[in-house]
Parts: sequence; structure tokens; C-alpha cells
Amino acid sequence: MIENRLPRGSFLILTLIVVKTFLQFLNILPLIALLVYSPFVQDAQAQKNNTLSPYVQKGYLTFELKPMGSREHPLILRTFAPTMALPKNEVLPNHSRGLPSPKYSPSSGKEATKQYQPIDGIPAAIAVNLGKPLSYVWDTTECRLLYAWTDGFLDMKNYWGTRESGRRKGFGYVPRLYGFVFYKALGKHPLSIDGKSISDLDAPIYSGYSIDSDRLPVYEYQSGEHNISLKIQPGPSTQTLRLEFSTTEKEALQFSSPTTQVETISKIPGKLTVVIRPNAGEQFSSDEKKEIIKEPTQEIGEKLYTSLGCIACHSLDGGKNHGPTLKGSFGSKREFLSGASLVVDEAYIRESIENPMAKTVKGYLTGMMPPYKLEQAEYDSLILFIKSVR
Amino acid sequence: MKKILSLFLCLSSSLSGSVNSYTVENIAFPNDMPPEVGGLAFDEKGYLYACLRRGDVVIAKPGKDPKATKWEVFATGLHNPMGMILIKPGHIIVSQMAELTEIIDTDQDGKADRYNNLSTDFGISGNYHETNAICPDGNGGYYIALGTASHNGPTFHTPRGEYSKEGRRGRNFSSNQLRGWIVHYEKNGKLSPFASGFRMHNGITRSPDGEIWSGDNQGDWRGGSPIYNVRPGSFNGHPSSLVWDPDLKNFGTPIFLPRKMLDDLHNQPSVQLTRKTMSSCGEPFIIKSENFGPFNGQMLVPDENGRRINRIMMEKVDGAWQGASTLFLNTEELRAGGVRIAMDAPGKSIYYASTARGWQRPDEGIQRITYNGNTPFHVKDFKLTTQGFEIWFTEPIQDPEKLAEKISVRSFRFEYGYRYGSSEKDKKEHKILSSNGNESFEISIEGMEAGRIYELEFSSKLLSLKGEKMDDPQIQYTLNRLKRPSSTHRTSLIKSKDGIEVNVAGKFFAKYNFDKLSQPIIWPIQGPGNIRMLRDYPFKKDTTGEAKDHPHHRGIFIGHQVMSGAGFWHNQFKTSGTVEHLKVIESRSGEDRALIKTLNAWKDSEGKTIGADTRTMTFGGDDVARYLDLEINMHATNQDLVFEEFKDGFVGIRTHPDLRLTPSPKYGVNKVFGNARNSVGGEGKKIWGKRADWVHYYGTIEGKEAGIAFFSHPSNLAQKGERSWWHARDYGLISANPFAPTKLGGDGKHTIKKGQSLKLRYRFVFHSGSKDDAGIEERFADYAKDPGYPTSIMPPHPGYPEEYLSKKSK
Repeated sequence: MIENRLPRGSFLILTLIVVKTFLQFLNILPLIALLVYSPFVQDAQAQKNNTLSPYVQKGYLTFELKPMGSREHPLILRTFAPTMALPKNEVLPNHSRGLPSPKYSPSSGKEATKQYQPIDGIPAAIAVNLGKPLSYVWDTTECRLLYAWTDGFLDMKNYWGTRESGRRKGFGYVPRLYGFVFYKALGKHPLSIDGKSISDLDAPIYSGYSIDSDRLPVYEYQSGEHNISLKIQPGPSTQTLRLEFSTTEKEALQFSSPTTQVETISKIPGKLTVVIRPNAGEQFSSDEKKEIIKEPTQEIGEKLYTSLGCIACHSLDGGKNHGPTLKGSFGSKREFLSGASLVVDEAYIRESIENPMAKTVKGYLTGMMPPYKLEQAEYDSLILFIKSVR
Repeated sequence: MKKILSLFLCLSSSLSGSVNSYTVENIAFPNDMPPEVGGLAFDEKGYLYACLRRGDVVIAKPGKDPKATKWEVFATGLHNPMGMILIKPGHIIVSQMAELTEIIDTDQDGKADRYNNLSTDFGISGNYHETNAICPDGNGGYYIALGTASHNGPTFHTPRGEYSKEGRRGRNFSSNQLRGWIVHYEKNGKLSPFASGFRMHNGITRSPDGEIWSGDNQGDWRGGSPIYNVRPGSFNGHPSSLVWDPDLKNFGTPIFLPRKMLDDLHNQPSVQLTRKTMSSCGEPFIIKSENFGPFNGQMLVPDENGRRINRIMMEKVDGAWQGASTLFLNTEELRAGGVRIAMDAPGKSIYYASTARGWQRPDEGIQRITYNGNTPFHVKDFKLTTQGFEIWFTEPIQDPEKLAEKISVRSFRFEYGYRYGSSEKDKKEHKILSSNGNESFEISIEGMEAGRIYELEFSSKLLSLKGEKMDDPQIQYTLNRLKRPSSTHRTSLIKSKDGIEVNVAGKFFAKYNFDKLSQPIIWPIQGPGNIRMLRDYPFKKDTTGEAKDHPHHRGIFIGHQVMSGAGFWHNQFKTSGTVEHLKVIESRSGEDRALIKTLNAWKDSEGKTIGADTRTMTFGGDDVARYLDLEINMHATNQDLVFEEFKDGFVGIRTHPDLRLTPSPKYGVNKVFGNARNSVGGEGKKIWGKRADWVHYYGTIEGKEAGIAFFSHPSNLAQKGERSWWHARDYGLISANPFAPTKLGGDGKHTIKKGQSLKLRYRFVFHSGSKDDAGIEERFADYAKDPGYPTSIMPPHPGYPEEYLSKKSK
């Protein structure tokens, strides 16, 4: 059972098994079982760890949008990661460069002079959280620690969306970092082997990682002829990091990073342990700033059309897609699967956004669109925008 | 109770078919676990592995009671894993957003502790839409399907893998290395491109016969939801990914390639599913069980957006796969968002995984679909015949002699182009001419044409002997190719490095050489009775009795004296351009005809690409003749293609010297045995410079009666109502020229505008025997009626932004 992930021998597990077996015996749905025992688990766990993250309790990712691990149960998350304004040329030399691209109309096949702009994001990173004391992002493309922080991890809401809607934020879905960033990669790759920075060798090749007895990932990568491994742990004091490098051929290893205090803990051929101290200090709130709309406008509606993802299914140019086009929709007649019909008005648009299951337009599938619970001004802005699409 | 109920329903015949033959159960997950299943596989001990899109891989042994399913976490830390293959318990291969990963539980404690990166040699743009899926290659390696990005999302400033500005353009796009491809990861760790042209091929399967199948989603360049038989090197219709094809790198932005060029490159889908049955294809699944109802060996495809599973019946016709589709299960009991299917060891149940987070209302989980032993009344198999279709039912039917009255047939086509999806175009109703059979039924249908989708609908009057009606009583058949008549002159191809040899009835007929003296050439050609048909010179210089004039007359060759400033007729001058063979688009054989289709670049004397052609050559034969059909499509890829008016062009053949009309003692041709005529009664030397449907050279070759006829298809470019102009000489050169000088009675200069194409069709008939035995007139009449290979309905070229945007600003 999943619950085996809990610390072995704890009183909790016994209680859980008893409770769960009892419930199963009664043939009650797991849903009810969870409702019954969740608060109990959370209380016990909270007392012990001072954390409530279901990930730590259950050992699996839940619908929680701000999952956290712990020292005993590190959370390893492969995901898009924020760039955190890292200097691209020095720190991300093995990534390519995205460029602006002309906007495109899928129904005319023509391009416009306006352009799509790239956004910030690291495509192939590994994010790790050990609870409040440490989070870090290690990148498989650069084979390098990119940044580390405390007191938080990643807010996945813009990427995973809520349980009900699963809605990604249109052009801003890179998970949001929250907490206190104390380390950021600067300059060339900090590792030198036999006196040569590995930045000067061919692009490093990520080989994989092992989970060691501390349940921590130990990364392995190749650079030139060298096979390197790296374990990242919290340092001896808060906002420090302990990095253990080793190589298979007993090379001389050195770690250096501009404007970063590095303490060498041990150094023998093929092994290097350092502690690095903070070189940054930036606080990122755990709450996303929400813009308050003073007055609904068509422009805000247009932005919402993109950011809420309406754009994926409803075209503006009459083009066919999963949902009806918005072009000329306002005031037009709609026929529904039920056989009923009506003329599109504000109330119908509002209902279609808030409760899309209420009516399904003929020729389309029922249940494709998730419900959108928005602010009044957001509904109004969207309605203004939809009215404007003639 | 349930059984009794369904039996009652069957008897009352108010409801029946698949829904009553399969039970659907929900496999339980903890309420707080998001069961967004991306990959699904059983191990040998009956444990089901499921990879979940947020990153966990969980394992359970589903028992009799699906509510009692207990999941354990096996692995974690994966980004949108959508493909999984089980090597052995505790050892899996997963495709995820950023890599192909091997996951192992090395200490066998039930939890994975080793994550090996097998490959990251493909791009990630940062766009949310880039799906992944894998299937085994049968040799310890894998095929990975790499989805494209969507213009409804951005790319990153710092993507991984090479970035292409040209690949970034369009609706769904391939901004980064190999997106929109299927790549091949070999056991030795090497990753290579395998097939291009995909949009969102969220699912890939290898069938037991070693074929690779991939679904794709309706969208841009997808009229319906297609299922492709993925041939190595094939282009599967969606152009953006072509930026990563080195053969196409000199033709400009892929989404602006001439429409007909894309259509010719396109590996037509074996089956197109329509909106009525499929919104977007999940992963194809091949039934390998006799215990799951009467459909062993057929393919099931779940719908990523709907509560339904399609069933596909494939067959090989004219050397390639195509087939029929119908709904297998269509019930509100199913979750929407079906993406993967796995079968348990007893083979009585399939596990149907669904996820929809990110593209529609989440509807996630695993359902078990079990056959309850009640044979569903439906179509068991469906095949094309030369006259119509042959149908097998799962149960005997009532009043089989009245079957034809209970079937209606219609057909339509889908558009191929940049627009999102296609409505049904060019719709037709078809009469059923006859119906015969008892166990299987052959129905003959009026108006069978290639390039259409046929839909048969059974009326509610069709009942099984037990009185059952059919659920979802429609069958659709994607008719890419008509069924060929059976023939004793079967064809085969022998491929080599420098070309392809064609055999008819086991005898050598022709060789297509990729490069002979500056262009692809067909040479030699042996007619029936092994009669040599072409001059050997300039390829062989020691054949006796051959004149060594005009060394640019090379077997069968294609070119024009001046096209856009370069010469393509002669190959010996400084101004001569070259035609470079880029790739074989497709080759197939086995039935009465063989096909070779190639892509070629037309380059000027400095090596600059000015245009392209796609040419389809079809080879076949009978007792007295061999034929070669040439369809050449010239594409103005890089600029307007201007064919200046000159007599030397366009498709030429240099015959065996014995067919010459006049000797040439100066060149060692002392005696000739040839005569010539054309379709309008012209004879001998006088047919030069005349218009005709065909010309025919005949006589004796090396003592045997033989001849060569050369047809120009009536659809070819010519002044209104006119026939082809012939550059047909007395010394063995024959060419059909649509660009001959007007003062010689030709059609004059012709320009193909940039982005457009020109199609030309010719047939050569190489016969033994006398001119009358060859039946040239009848053969031409047949050819004139032959519609050739279908061209898709395509929206017009949208124009080039550098042109319409600059006009706008003026």
C-alpha cells in the first residue's frame, strides 16, 4: 500500500492500516475513507514535521499545487523551471535561443507583422525540495546547479491548473518559484578538472541519477573524457549548500564561482566536497499577485482570451476547431444538441464560460470545455471582447 | 442480474451490439491521486504499471474487485511521461518531456533507485504541446514520437536543441530539433530521424508483423484524425517538421512549399477517422487475443476527446496499407480522454487509460473493459474488392438476400491543408449494384474512385439471426488505392545504392538510375521477349551499330533547353543545370504494378536550387507489352519557373537504333528497320513538329518485331483543345514538348508561379510483335480514361508574407 512510504515503525501506519482495513471491510468508497482519516494524519504529521504537505504523508503527488518534500522524503519534480534571470550566455550556453516569430492566422494561412515573443523558462531541469530548508534546480542540459532557495518550492498552479479545470495559463505556465533565493549560478560552469574548466570542453552529457541511501539524487554526467557525479545536500547552516563531486579517474577537481564564497571541506584526487554560501537574496511571495480589474474592457477580455486558453479551441477568424468560432458569434443563432436554439446574448456567453455543460452547440462534443470560475469583471471583459469579434 | 438483463434486452432487440458485450469498470485510485495516465503496461506477474503525468509511476495488481485496487509508488520525478515499456518487473523505459529514460529498481525493494538518461538528442521548445510516446523497434531499441508545439503557447528564450526560425512558423510548429518526427533510438544508443510530418502523434504502436502505426490529431494539415503506417523516411503530412529534413533544406519555409509538392510527399494515412467517430487519436492498440470477442488482430484506437473507441480493420492493397473503421465502444460509461490501452495476460480485458488535463475538462483514470462472452453483432471484417466491398458479420444475418436494401453508401473527401480539420467535401451517394453471399457478402458499388472515404450505413432493419440490431452501424473505408485486378504479370523491385530495378513477371524490365550524367535516367529497358528498347550510348560506348550523336539523349530523360536561365536538356555545356535525386518518397510492388516515387531538385549551373519535381513512375505489363507511366509534377519552390520556348524538351526517349527511320552511315548506322506514325494519321518523318495524342515507332529490333508508343495524357498542358506537340525525330529521339516555339506550332513559353505546380503525365508502351498486335489505339483510350493518382482537395497557397505584407504596407 501507498502508506508504506511513511516512516517505518511509526504508530501512524498501524493506525492507518487499522482504519483503512476497517473501512474496506465496510466496503466504503476510498473517498470517504480519505475524508475520515486525512485530518487525523495531517494533525499527527504536523506535530512531527511542522508541515502539512500531502506528498510527505502519502509518498505520491496529489492534486496539491504547492507540493513539498522533506529531508526524509525529498520531492523530485521534473518540470519546466523558471529562469530566474540567470545570465544566459554564461550560465545557459548549451541551450539554443528562441526568437520572436510572426503571428499566424490558422484560417487564412497568413502571417501578420505582429510577433509572438518567447518567454523565460528552463526546459529540462530537475527541481528538488527537501522541505523548507532547501529547494534547488539542477539542469540536465548544462549539468549544473542553477539556483537554490529556502522556505518554499514551486507553485504548479499555472502549469497543472486546479483539479476541476486542469487549466494551464496560456502564455505563462512556467511554475512560479516562491521562497527565499540564496544562490544563483554565475559565470562559467564552476567545476574544473585537472586545471581546465569544463565549460571549455564539449557540452556536458547528462547520464542520469541514482537515489542514494539518503534518498537524495546523485547526478551523473560526462564532460569530455570525464565521468562526474554530484550530490547536493543542505549545508551545515541555513542557506548553505554542500556539494560532493566525484570522478572515476581520480582527477584533480576544483570549484570556483565568481562572487560566491566557497569553502573546501575535503579534496582528494577524484573527490571534492565544498560548502557554498549565499550569493543572492531575493524573496518571492507565495501568493501570486492578482491584478484587480477596475473596469471591464475589451482589451482585458482579449488578454484573458489568450491567458485562460480560450484561444486553443475557439478561433477568432471563423476557423474550425474543438469549439465554435467566436467570429460573429454575438447575436447569431445557435442550435444545440438538445434541439433547442437561441440567439447568442450576454447571458448565454456568461453561462457558456461558467457552466459549459449547460448547452452544447450542434456538431461539437459535450464536456470538452472545463468550467471557468472568474471574477464578474473578467466575465464582463470576455463578453466585451467576444462582442467585438465580428 | 446484469446478464439476465442484457439477455432480455437482446431478445427484445431494442439494444444490443458492443455495449452489451463488454462491461466497463472503474479502477480505483486514492481520491487525492491525480490518475492522469500517460503510459500503461502489465508485467509478467500481472502487475499493472501506470505512469502519471505529474511524475509518478504507480503499480497495482488489479483484482476481481476494481474498487479494491491498491497502488504503490514505483518511481517519481518524470515530466509529463506519456510512453512506457516494461522490460521486466522493476525495470521500465519511459518517454517524458525532456528525455527517454530507463528506470530500474536495482536493489529490488519495490522502489526505483536508478534513472538513466538514454537520450536527450531531440529538441524541447518549452511549449506545453510537445507530446511524447514510444514503442519498441523489435530489436531492443525504441521509436519515439515527438509532438509539435502549438501557436496557442510560446517557446522559451532558452529552448533545448537547435532552434529553427522557419520551423517556428505556422499553427502547430517544429521550432526545435526533430519535433514532429518519429525518431529511432537504437539499442546501441544512437538516435536517428525515422519519419517526419507529424502534428500530435500521441501514441505509436508496433504490430506483431513489425509495422509501425501512429495516430495523429485532427488539426492543421489533418482533415480527419489519421492513422499512419509509418514507413522509414516517410513524410506524414504536417509540413513544419520538414525543416529538419536535409533533403528539403534548399526549398524554403516548409509551410509555404507548393501544395501539390506536399501532397506528393505525403504518406497518405492508411485510415482517416472522421469527427463522427473520432476527435483525436490516442494510441493504437492491436488486439492479440481470441478471448476479447471476435476481433483478434484488429486495432483499437481510443479518442482523446470523446467517450469512444474506434476499431480498425487494415488490409494491404496495391502494395500499401489502408482499411476500414467503425466504432468499437461508444458509451457514456467511458471516460473522455482515452489515450492508452493495455491488455492483461488472460486477454479477456483491456485497461483503458484516459487523461485530458490541459486540453479539456479533466476526466482521468483507468477503466477495465471486459468481454462478457456475448458476441456483439457487428461487422467482423471488411475488405475492398475490385467492384466494391466484401463484408463479414460476427453473426449470421436475417434475410441475407435482402442485404443490399439495408445498406446505403456515400462517400466524400477531406481537404489537405493549413486549415484546422476538414468538413466532408465533394460528397456523393452511391448505388449498390448487387449483393451476393452467405457467410461473407460481396457488394458491388457504382462509382468507386481512389482518394475518397466511403461510408456504409446499415439500416435498423438489418438484424442478426438472433434478432439483434447493430450498435453504431456505420463502416468507413479510406480508399487510397483501388483493388488491382489479379495478374500473372506481378512486379517486383530490386533496390540498390544507385537505383531501383523493376521486374515484371520475373523478367527485367527497367532500371531507374538516381544519377546518370547530371540527372536521374531510366535505362536500360527490356521489352517482352527481352528485346532491348533503348540506345545504349552514352552509358555503354561499345555497342555495335549505334550512332554516337547527341550524347545528352540519355535513355529516358527529362529536361528543357532553357528553364529559368539554366539548361536542362543538354548536360555537356557550362550553362547546363542538373537534376539531383534527393530521395525515394515511396516504392512498392507485388501486385500487377510497381511504383517508384521520387523527389528531385532542379539546380542551375552554379548549384543553386531553382525548383523541384516529384515524379511517380508506375511499371507493369502483359503478354505483349510493358508500360511505364510517368507523372511529373514540377514545383516552383524557390522562384517562378519559366520554361522558355525551345524545341528541345521536355520528356525524351532515345530508342534502339534499329527503330530509326533513316540510317547514318557516317555514324556507323547502315541499316534501319523503323517506321513511325502518330494518332492523327501522320507517318514517317512528317510526324516531327506535329500535334498528336501519341506517336508510335515500330519495326524490327535485332530481328524481332517490336515497337515503342509514347502517349501524352489529354489532361496535359497545351493550348486550348490542342494535343501534345512532338519533337519526334527520324534518328531515334522522341520527345513530348509542351513548351515548343509557337513559330514551330508549339505551345510557347510557360511560367509556373512561385508556390504553384505543373502536372504532366506520359505513358510509354514497349511492345513485341507488329504495330497492329500492340493495340495502341485501345491502350491510349484506356490511358485517356485513367484518372491517375488522386490529388487531394487543397486550399490554395496563402502566398508569401514577404509579398503580401509589403503590399499591405504600401
